[in-house]
Amino acid sequence: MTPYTRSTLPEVWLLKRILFAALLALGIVLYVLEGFFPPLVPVPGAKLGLSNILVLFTMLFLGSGAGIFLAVARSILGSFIAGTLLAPGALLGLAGGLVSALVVAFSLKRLRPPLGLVGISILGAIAHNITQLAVAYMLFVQIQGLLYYLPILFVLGLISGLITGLIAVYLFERLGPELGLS
Amino acid sequence: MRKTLSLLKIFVFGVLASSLVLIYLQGRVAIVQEEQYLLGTYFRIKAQSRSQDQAHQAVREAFAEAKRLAEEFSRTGTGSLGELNRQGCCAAVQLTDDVLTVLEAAQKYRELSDGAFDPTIGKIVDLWGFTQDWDRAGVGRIPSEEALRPLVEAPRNILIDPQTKTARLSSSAVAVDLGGIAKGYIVDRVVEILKKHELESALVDAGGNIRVFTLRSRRVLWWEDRRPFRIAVQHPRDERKIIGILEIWGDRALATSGDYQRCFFADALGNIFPCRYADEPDKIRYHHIMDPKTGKPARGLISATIVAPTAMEADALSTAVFVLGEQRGLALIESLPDVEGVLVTEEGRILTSSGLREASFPTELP
Amino acid sequence: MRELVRTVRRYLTWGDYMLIALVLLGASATIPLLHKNAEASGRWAIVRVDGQIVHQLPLAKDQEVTVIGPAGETVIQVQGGRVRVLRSPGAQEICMRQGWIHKPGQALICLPNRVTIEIPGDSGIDAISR
Repeated sequence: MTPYTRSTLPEVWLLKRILFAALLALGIVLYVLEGFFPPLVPVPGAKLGLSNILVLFTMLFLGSGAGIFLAVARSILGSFIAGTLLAPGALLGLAGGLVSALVVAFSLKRLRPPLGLVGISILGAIAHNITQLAVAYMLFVQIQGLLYYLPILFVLGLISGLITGLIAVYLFERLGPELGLS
Repeated sequence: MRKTLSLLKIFVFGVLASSLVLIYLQGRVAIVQEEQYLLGTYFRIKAQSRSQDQAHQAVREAFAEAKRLAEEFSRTGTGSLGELNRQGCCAAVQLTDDVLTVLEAAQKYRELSDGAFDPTIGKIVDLWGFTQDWDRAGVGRIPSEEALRPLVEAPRNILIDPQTKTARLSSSAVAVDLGGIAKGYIVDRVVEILKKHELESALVDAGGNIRVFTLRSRRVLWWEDRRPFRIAVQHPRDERKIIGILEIWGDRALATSGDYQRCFFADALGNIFPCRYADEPDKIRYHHIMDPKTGKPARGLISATIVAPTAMEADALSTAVFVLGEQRGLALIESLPDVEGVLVTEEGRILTSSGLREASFPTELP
Repeated sequence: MRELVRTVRRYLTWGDYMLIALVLLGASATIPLLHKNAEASGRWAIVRVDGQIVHQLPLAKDQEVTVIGPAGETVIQVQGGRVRVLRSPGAQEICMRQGWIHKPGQALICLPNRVTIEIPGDSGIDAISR
């Protein structure tokens, strides 16, 4: 059976889009929910990055392009729904999500052999955090001491990447074969 | 089906794109803060605007006006007030509009406070050593009864003729001291100038005489949204602490009169020491807010903070309430609409007026 | 628990372990920065005399600075990410008794010598009525 990502059957075409919509909806929900947690770092809009699991998932099942699109759409629509669209937090979330998605896409293509899904997830999470820090630093010059949260961000990225990565692998192992993926 | 999904795609892209454009459009707000030493204190202005230039321009003009007025209101300077005091009794002196306005307001507050606020006690205040160069001396002196009595008992009046814009002092016992009201007036004038520019909000702080205003409700486009100004009240007995924070919306002013601002200690033997915020054992504190009826520092309250629509009102009322004391002071505050206050008694009890119930102040000094 | 650990081990490749080690290394390398002057490093104390800025002192660097005002010398000390006034003319010694400050938005005011030391930022308090 053709791996479903490369299938051209019309039913599959539709299914892919439905799946995408479902994943996007889930991503938005997670994004909005994690926004309600108190920020661990005094950066407005700093998020845990839990919804990144869905980005990874999308990339595995629907391709890297879909994954990137999901990341961007999730950030913007999520901020829109949460009512924070025009706040700096939205910009940080968008930038973080986008860069993280790009890093994950790149890693999936090139770094797959040495790194497993968990490692890729960790990379994505760290990229997400660092991007948020960098954007915050560039935009909000008042918060001068931001740079020194670097170690915490590494560790947080590690942890959240680890968790999301493990979940992703778990799901992938269960669902992958059914959908014809390795 | 495909068409619907393509439309959906376009819609989503549309939302995405316009959101990005909107995010980009929100500009950064410029905050300009400057301070100058004027009127014996640091004068700080913080202006927030979308335009850096407007903010700078506003602040520049504001300080220019403040400087001009500071000279006007100097008790001994070259302005008309100084002239009035130099003339003494009893000739009429020409006044500028600013000084005239404040003198009339001062008379009004004198009546309103039943004499607690009194602009004619300049000579009494001088006797205690709280003169223009108190800052350099740092201490005052305790005047003798014989020196005080004639000044306290003499009828002290300023006779103002609004038609000719002149005033004269009723007796040689009078020297005009607008210290408890002039700073407030200057703050108000500064705010008027700031309002002429395109500012979103501003804060003027003249050594504790504060006025704030917000012109535009920065609601949709900037993340700070609408937030109140948070102004703290100084702890009268500890330089490092505050006793509470007031959330001020809109256009309001605050002023505090305290016995720790200008003061000195004296022990039983009559030795004089510089004072501190904290009390010292075996020493009595003498401060600069005189009770016009006794000619001596008012007792009962150690700090009186007033919130009012204008800085001049807040300034005058804070002095008046301080002198009036706990009961009459609170009564005066409650009798005036739009005026609120926080009082601290000598025993350390903190009282707030009815309009400040939500503000979280402790009942005792921390 | 052991089941969980075994599952986790199974999911991670050698590359993953390498990455984790690298991240932990990187984190610990930047930790010294975090603790000592983390908050302070980004912070500055702006010193003004008569309203004019005369110094911008990084709070991360311990130092002692003397400024001259109309009433004499004011000695300012920066130590451990905090700043205070050691000596300043003025009978009431108010600014010396204000002690150390280190948070953004806090300020020390030495009125007799017209010196103010402010750590720029938002402390949640816009002004103090005194």
